[in-house]
Amino acid sequence: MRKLTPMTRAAGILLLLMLPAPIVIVFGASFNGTGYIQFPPESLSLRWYVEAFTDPRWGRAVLTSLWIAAVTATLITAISFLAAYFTLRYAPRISSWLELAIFSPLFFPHASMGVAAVALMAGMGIVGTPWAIILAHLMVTIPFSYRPIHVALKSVDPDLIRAAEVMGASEMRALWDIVLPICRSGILTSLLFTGIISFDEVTVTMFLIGPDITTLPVQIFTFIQDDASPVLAAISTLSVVITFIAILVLERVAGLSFFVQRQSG
Amino acid sequence: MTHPATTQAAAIGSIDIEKVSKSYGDAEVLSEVSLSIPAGSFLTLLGPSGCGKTTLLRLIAGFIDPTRGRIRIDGRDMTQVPTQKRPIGMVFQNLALFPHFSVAENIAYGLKLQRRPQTEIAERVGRFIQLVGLAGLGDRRIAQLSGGQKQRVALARSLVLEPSILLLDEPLSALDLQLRKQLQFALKDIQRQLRTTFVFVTHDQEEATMISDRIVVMSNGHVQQVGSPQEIYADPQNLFVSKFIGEVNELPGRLRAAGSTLAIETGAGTFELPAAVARGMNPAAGDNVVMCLRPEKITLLDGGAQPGPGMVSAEARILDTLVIGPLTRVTLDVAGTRMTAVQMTDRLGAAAPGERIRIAFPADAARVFAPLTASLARAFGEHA
Repeated sequence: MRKLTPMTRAAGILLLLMLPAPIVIVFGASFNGTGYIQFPPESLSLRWYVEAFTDPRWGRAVLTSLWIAAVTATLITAISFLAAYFTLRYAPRISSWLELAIFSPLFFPHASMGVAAVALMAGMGIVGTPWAIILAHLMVTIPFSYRPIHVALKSVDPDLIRAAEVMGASEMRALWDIVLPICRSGILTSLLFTGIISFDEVTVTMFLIGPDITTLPVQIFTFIQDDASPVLAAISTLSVVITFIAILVLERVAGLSFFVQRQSG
Repeated sequence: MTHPATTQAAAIGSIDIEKVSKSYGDAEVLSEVSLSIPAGSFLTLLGPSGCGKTTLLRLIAGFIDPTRGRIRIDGRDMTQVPTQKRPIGMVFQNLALFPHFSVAENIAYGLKLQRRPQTEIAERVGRFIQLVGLAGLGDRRIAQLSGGQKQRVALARSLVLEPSILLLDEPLSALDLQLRKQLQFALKDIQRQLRTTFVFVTHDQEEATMISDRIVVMSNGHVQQVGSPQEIYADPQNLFVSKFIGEVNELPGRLRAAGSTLAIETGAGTFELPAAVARGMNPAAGDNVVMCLRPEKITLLDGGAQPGPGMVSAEARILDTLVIGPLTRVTLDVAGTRMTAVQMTDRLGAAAPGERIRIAFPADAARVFAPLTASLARAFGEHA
């Protein structure tokens, strides 16, 4: 490889420092003792964390976001797995068309998807319920779920399923015993990414919240329009911590390799 | 499980293929194949790639359904029976071992599906690990095994369920020659011990003749000939089989007369042969034919020696000799046509390249066939 000039090296280091900068600023601001968001903090205090934990609105929003993320990630991963498996095995010819359809949410602006979602779900009468949010999140997350699972499934030799069937396994049994464990890294990637995306989603979700339900990022957004309180910095820091813990846990369970698409099975 | 009416009692492990055809769209990959596979035999489906042998195996396994025709196993019609319910085992070309299981777990999988008791599973897995010569390797991961060991796991995994039929889809094709030979003998030995019906697919004619009791030569979706390795070698029924099995000298020619003797005009001269050497055709004067002669049927005549009774002779020039231990390959120019003769080295005398000699062969050792059809010729990369 070519040696880096001092200039490119400096630029690279600067860029790498810029990436986590917002997190550092939010983190610093959350410990500020004064009543507005400020970096570096003027005085140190935990009062905003106390407020975040004592104000029930925040706790409720965090719990709502967590369970919606968990349900979304599980559902979309199951849907993607079955869709990818059955297309690959029984209708490989429509595979590329299906992929195009599945990736189409990536091409649409989230705001127009929000409008479409609210129109659709108002018709179904579920706006303002968690199901509307979950349904919308399924739409938003499917490309991020289908892709890693499709790649993992493609590397599974179809004769493995036939071998299990010759030994007496039903197709579902072969899926569970053989295909699922081999695709573990793709499935965990899907669970993690879709969970994080759902936990973070603002634009589409804003259209669908109701008086009884709101998610954490929407709550933050709504809140900041009224009041730029440092409690938001504390909440943001906490949500970064939650995401980080999720990654750590999965890393322990699955190994770092699941972040990288493996070349072969 | 339902038992469709079995009219005649069929032996356990027998397969009857009745006029089976398989098409994908317009392309017919198997045409009206009929075949009886007796219980306990080691049968090989042999043919070039694309001949339909793997398709036939997959039809027996039930991975695909025939377009027309019927397959019976143990006398029972299998048309409506899914793979899971067929009394078969299978060894796949790429082995299809479960990479996330150990050797013992791979072998135990089928028994676990049958909910056998733990002690029985352990006992049988142990027994079959022994049988295939993998003792002590039960805890190994699949990735830790050599190619030959993987083969043995695949074999044990199918045999532990004691199927009456084992299907093998070119399982040795990925191995080097030495290991291949070893496993061919191991397979044959295991088959003799268990008396399981083995249906083995290969494109390697040497492997087929070494390993099997019966060979089915296939090409272009048709069965060309069924017989023991000796029958297929010594008495091929058409030019395709003759060319595909072993080595053969081919002399294209024309029938000048066809009666009780055939007079064949070839580039190497005109030969008079008994009518009985024609196979798979009704010889008539004017037909284009191919005369075939195995290299070991040709004798080099010493000095002025005369051909014996029933022998046909021709002038030849020696182009080259190649001593391979007890045998010597002699390349000959017979009136412009290259031919190969195989002789016992110690009986060769002073044959030297450039020397003019006479060759002879028994008239009834030659075979006369119709030329290959265009589609069969393609299997050899020839243009008819």
